[in-house]
Amino acid sequence: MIKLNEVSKIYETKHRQGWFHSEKRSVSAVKSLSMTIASGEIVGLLGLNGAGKTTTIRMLSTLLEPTSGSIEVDGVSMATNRQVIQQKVNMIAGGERMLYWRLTGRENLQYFGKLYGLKRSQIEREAEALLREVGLTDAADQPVEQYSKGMKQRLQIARGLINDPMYLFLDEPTLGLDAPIARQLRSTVRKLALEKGKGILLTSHYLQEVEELCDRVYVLNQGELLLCDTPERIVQQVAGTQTAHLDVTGWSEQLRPLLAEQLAAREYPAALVSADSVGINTLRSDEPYRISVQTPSADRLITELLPWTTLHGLHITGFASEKPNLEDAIILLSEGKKS
Amino acid sequence: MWQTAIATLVRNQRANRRAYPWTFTLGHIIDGAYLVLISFFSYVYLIQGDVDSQFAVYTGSNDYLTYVIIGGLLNIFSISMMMNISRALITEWREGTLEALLLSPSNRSGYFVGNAIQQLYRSGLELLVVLSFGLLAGLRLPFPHLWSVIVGGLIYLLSCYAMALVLGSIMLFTRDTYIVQNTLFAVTALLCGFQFPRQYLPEMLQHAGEIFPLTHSLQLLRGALLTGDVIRLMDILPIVLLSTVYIAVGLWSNRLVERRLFERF
Repeated sequence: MIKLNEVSKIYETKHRQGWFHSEKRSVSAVKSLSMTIASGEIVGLLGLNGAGKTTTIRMLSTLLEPTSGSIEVDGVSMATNRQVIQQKVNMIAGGERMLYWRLTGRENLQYFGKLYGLKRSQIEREAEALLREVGLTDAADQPVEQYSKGMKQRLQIARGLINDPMYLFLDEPTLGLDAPIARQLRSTVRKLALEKGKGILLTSHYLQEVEELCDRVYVLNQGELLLCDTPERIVQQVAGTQTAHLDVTGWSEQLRPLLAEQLAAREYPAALVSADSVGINTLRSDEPYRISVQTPSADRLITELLPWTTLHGLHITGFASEKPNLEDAIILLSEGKKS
Repeated sequence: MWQTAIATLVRNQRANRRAYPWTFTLGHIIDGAYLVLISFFSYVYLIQGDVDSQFAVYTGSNDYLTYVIIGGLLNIFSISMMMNISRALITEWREGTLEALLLSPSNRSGYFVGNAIQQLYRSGLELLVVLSFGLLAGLRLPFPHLWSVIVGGLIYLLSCYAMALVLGSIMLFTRDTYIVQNTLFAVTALLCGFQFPRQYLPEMLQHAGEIFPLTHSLQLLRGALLTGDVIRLMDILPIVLLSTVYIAVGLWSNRLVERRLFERF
């Protein structure tokens, strides 16, 4: 298990003021962050730009040292055993970095295998298996500069796995990828956690991807941890309930207080969002009206309201529900609209 | 260390074979050939073989042409060696591969040694070809002390390697290659005595030149080549010590710079 205990990172920056003077400033990128990543778990790290995600990943992958706090990987302290930890972790970044373009895919893996101290026979075996796994066997002996973006990204995954790390950090791994390749990559990530028991930390701006893959999500804002929970519970806690839309005919304004009373009796206090005309402003009773209600369960609402609508001569002509997603929750959290 | 060194050597060899055409090597050889020709024409037509009497006192030989050709070739060789070793990490940074390299627990000395060996192979071949032009132009080595030449050559390589490590750290810290490397090469060309005996320089500059291991190793190697001087243990010991200090400072500062490389916000 990876444990971050009260980890902070402060960057010291110099701002030039004229030719001979510069002012030192401190930027707190991560503030007292505590988190865990267990084997076989996919953990998301979310936040808007500048939230501290990349700094956290760089600290976890030994590229940056924390200003304070401690990081342990399977009980081994990063401060004193950097090289031991480097054998246990690896990082995959989005984009086209971290590969030698003039080497072939196979040569890249051979080189990185050697840097991790693997034996020649082991490297050959691992490289072959990884190239097969990411679907690059046919292109293995082509220089990387001839690869497409998706192929480079798949080779990145193979590179990140060459040392068979226990923990893998994925920084925007599907950045700029076509939908089918991104889907294939997500399936690989899921397999790595489920079948190979690897602990995975994922940052992505595609929140649907995070919702789909992650068991738990840490939400950062300006370096501070705001929330940690499952994606579903974060959505529920932060973005609240679903919005159910009922399109009815036979609506009259006299029904509005009655509906509000009915909803309040059924524990939907102040839940009536609106009851507006769907069409052009007409007050004919056969004009469809939309009743929008916030509810924890849209299906339950319609079951409960059905007798009431029948009683008051309303006919339901349409029904829709809008679920808030992780994106709504993250935006709300970052804007500080809800705690 | 050696696994990283050999892997880096092979990687560079493969990348260079694909990226650089043979005309690149030819370009280097032509540069060296020009240097030989300029030395030859200057000696024959400009100064007409008339060398200051002090020259023989300072160098132990009257053969200015051999002196200047050897100096010039070793200068080109040292620039080529130092430039490519020192630029290794900043090139990785510019090409976006440094993160992947630093993520691994690989040995940094091994990485630099791998770069150095690969560069030695390339620059060494170029040097040999240019040396043959030099022989045609009048370069004469009547009494080289073979064993001393080998030892002197190794010490010269060590000096280049040691200075390259410090230069590399400065490059990585300043994120600049052009100004840093050319400043150093201009200073070494002036102070190390490649083209003329250092005794012609003002005393202060002579002392300044002594801070470079290259100055001392050049003197030893040229002495072994030109006048057959025997290199003894006591001759190489100070250079080895000075180079060790450079290597230690280079590796230490490099580690510091690496740690702070991603600190810039």
